[in-house]
Amino acid sequence: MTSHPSRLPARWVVTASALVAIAAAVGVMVGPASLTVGNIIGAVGDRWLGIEATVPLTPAQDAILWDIRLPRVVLGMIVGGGLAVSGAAYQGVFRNPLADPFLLGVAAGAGLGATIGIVFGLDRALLPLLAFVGAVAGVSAAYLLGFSLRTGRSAGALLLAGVAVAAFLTAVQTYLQQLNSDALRDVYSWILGRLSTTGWREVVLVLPYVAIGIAVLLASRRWLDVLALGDEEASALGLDVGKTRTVVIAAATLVTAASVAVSGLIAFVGIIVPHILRLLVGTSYRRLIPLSILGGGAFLALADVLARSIQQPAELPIGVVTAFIGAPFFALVLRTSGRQP
Amino acid sequence: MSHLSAQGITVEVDGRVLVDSFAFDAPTGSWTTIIGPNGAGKTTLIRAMLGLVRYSGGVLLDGRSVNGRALARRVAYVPQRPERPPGMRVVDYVTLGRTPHLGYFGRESERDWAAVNEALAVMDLGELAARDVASLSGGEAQRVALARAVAQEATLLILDEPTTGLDIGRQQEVMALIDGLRRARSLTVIATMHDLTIAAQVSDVVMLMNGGRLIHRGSAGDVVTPDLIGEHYGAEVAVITDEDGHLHVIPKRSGTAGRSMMEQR
Repeated sequence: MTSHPSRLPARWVVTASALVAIAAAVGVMVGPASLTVGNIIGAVGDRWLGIEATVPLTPAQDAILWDIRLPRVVLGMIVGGGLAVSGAAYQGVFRNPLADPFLLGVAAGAGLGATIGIVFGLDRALLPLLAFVGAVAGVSAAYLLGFSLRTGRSAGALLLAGVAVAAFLTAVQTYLQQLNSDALRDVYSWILGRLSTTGWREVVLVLPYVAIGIAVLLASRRWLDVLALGDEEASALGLDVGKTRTVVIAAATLVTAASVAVSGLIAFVGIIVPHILRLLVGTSYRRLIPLSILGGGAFLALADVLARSIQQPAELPIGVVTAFIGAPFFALVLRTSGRQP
Repeated sequence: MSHLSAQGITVEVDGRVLVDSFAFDAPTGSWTTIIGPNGAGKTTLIRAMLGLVRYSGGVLLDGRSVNGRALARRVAYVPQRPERPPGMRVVDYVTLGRTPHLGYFGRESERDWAAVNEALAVMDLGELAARDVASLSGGEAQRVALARAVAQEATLLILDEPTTGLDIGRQQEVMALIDGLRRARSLTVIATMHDLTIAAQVSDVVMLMNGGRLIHRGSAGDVVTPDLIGEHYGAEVAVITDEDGHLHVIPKRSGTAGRSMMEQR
């Protein structure tokens, strides 16, 4: 037995980081104009380290790498890492491995916000803001409703409130959609999710929110293990259960809302990534939280490669890809692993 | 050092009084056992002392009112059936005992790890450290829960039915472990118990509780009597004392119930 038994083993961080690096490399290489590993190493050395490349990129290749592919890969990693870590955090707070970041009305609120933007023909640049506001408003409504219930601050009361709020917001969204059936296609495409970028704009837009939220979740990871003991034992260990739950939900909601605001509702990442990691590294949130960030980032960046290469030149909605490859892979992991999910 | 003084604890839920003006003192190093029939309010009283349920009255530790993290640094709680999250390793579970000693953004120091390792050693859990807590047997699980309390370095131990669901050998083992800890570390122990013989043998003070009220408080010989047990449990028992002076509570075959069954035949 080592003297620091609960810490995150370095080999897992190294493995996950290597996976992220591979996903990033594949992400920038694959596309209609292919770039080689040599191109990328040369270009990165040239730009970041000041080492002149032996075969410099053409101006077109340079633009593809730095202004089109790299922002998209980075955005995929931010959104994927954000959705996965929020999923892990929600699962911890609700002590339910099936909880996902879209619980409590994030998805329904974001969907309504975006639908309002689309059906009223507002500037497309406003969609992320509307989706973000809708997502935060949805969760806030669920939270206020949950608090007003007789059962008070319990996780179960919050979940029920989330179900009610989500159902209501979805009904409003569907109604708006039906009134404006010409907008159906746009709304539908937004809901299925996509990672389309205009340079670095989206990355700059979401990064601050995701970074703050992730920092709070990383700091809270040990308390999620305490919450696994249930409210009563966690309180007896001196944890302010209500405050901790609020802080974690707020941080996870910030991350999810910012992610869906730029990417739409990409399904499954928040459930599948933490689950696979649980089967590999155990259930402790000290490991799950940091590894979900890396694993989710790599997963979504690779899913995006498939989304844009399967039906070239058209793109598949990335939400379809995450579910399509995620579900069978998930089933396979469940079947081949002897461990409890 | 932990002298607990409960002053008129009253717990009322939805207009029902579950604990009624309950007052007692548990001096440092003493073992106090709360006995009483099902629904007497024992667990609610414990939950009040731990600040887990709203109550009126006061709970003082060495003369001062403490709560939250400060309370958890002084008082460790082992519930009747401790939650054992599947997939959590024994060592991670015991580490949770350090929770009240860490700040929100804090991480475990060498001091914390030393406490965890010592707790594992004291409870002889070295070999089980990497096991999944959900896979443990009842006796192992109680040892692991006690190890978490030891890692917490509290001076007052509150136990709810610590022997429930254990076979007679594990019961004796767990009782011996708790008593050993109490003597080695001058812990104050407050426990609820259903097994009156064990309660009588380990306790310095026994409190009989019924209907939320303290009925009688004293030595085992004063409280565990056929009359009081008969009146408050509705049970017919014999209480005998062995050559070591230990009390044994033995249920007698109920005369009335047995007779009517015979008559029906």
